[in-house]
Amino acid sequence: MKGDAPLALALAVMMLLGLYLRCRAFDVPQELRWDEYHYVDTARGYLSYQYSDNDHPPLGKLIIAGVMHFVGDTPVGWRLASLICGLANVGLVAWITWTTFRSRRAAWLAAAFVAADGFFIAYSRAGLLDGMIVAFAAAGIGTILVSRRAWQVALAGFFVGCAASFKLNGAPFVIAAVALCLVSRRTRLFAPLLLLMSAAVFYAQSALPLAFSGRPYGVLAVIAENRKLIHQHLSYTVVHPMSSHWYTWFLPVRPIFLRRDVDPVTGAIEALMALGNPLLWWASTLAVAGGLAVLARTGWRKVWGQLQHGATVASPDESRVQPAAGTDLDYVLAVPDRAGLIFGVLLAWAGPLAFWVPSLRDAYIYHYLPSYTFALVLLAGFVDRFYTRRRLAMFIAVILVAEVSIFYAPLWGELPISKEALDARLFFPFWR
Amino acid sequence: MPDSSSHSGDDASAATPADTSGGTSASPPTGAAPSPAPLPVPKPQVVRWLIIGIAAIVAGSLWSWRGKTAAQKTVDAPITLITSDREDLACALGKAVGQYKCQFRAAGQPWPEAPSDKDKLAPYFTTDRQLFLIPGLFEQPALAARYKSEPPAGKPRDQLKRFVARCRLRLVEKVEGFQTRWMSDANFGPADSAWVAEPEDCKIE
Repeated sequence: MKGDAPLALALAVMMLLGLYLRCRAFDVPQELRWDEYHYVDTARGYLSYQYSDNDHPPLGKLIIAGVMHFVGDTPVGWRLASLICGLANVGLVAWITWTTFRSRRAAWLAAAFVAADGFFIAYSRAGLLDGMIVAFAAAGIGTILVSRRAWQVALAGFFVGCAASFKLNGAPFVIAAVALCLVSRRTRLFAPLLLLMSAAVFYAQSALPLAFSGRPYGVLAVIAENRKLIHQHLSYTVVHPMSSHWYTWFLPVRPIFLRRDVDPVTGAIEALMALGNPLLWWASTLAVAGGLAVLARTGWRKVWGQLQHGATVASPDESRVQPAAGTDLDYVLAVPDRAGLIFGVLLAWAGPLAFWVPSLRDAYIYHYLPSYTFALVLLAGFVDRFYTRRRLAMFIAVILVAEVSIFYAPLWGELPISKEALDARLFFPFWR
Repeated sequence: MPDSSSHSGDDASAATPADTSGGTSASPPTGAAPSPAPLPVPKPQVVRWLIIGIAAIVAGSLWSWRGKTAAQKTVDAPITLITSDREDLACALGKAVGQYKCQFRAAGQPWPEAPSDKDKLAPYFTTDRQLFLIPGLFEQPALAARYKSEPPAGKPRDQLKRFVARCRLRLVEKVEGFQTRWMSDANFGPADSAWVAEPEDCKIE
């Protein structure tokens, strides 16, 4: 970023915008919205040492209860954990991008993309669990990508174990982390440690509410509780009108209003919408294709070799050794030394998505949030590569992303907006 | 730490043949006939600052393009009242809205410096059950006259005649998290969100 003040300014504005939209009128509405009802009700139960049958494992509600214990049973208390995770996500995604592409500019781009994207903003403003999954999954995958020692692997196990303990759709991150741990010669011996740590975290958070509510909390009791939970999920047959199939998420077909209140006096709408910045959304899918192209061009043998030797052992200087290159696209994809790490990021993108492919229960757009996170890592890396060759064009592209975020800001920051102005932003009829 | 963004200026990328973003052409070949000096080409960094400037203007328009919302909006409101409401109705809110404040900062806790009658917010319902917090409603001339004509002192509420004050309300700010009290000896209870609105041109029906 040194010597590139215009880009630095643009990215700083995007991050400040993201911070503002996350924090403004944070205690509004003062009533619960969307699935906050389930989670806050359960957290209230935990605060009075009562067990509550959950739709999901207890960790998210335990965290919400912990915050409510200190902050109070208030809108801020319900949502503060989400806000902290949402802010952490900006740094975590930047860190993974730095790890993967060894470029500070790519890391700053990633931070700005996450900061100014409405999908992440919405889940920072609502007392919901999906932003928390992302935070712990990103921490876990980031840690395993740089792991060389036992304690690092254990730490990664802790994080991915937590990710699986918010909702079961976080479990693919455990599998991805174990896979990355196993293929590396440096860490494969520690793979059992990773699994053990994940299992311990999952057990502990499952057992805690059983214990403080005076129920049996041994391993068998926890297994029985979770079998019940899984059975409950598998038996869902109702199709919610806001649910959507996984293959529609790339458009997306059914973004969700987490809140949509109409002021009876003015007719103005205050809305919170789980919809990403459309430019980032569509470009991130292209970036996933770009990641696959890097793997194809690098060749499986070389990727496998990098994974075996630990993807991070490549000297950072190698990343700057570039072929004299033909087209711009050739140049962008010419990162063979980063292919192992890109494979890791792609695995983290594909895992939570694959979870929903065979699933029989209804799925929602927010189940794509963890995958989207890792798609943005790739997007930031490739935009950074393009930027080296097409500086002005890419600068304009970043500015456009910022403008689109400003355009959609009312839907992410719950700013009052008229019906007409709202519809102009939701230009696909099926978004309304 | 290494940084792939080490090209610190736009001219760095001009060295690559594929780049079209910047780099001015070199000086004319030596020995050639003198030709008119080439027009100055803006430096890419300058171009990007220009883009930032244009983007800021566009951003300002996009930010404020939210259609007609509440700012500076006025509405006509038929407010249903009895004269004892002047003393009975109260709200509790822990902040001021401009110069206006509820009588209480929290349930049962009056502000150390009580707001004047003109600036004191109180809750009122319209005939279609919309709640507003209105400062000094009974200070409006029509309502003050109506109050004088039927002083509530010593009369049971159910013997006071209900009337409608039709006022133009200028919306100031929407507030949440306040409480309302509907009788002077009653408890406060939570309320939904409501607009703080200044009354104008009230007429009694």
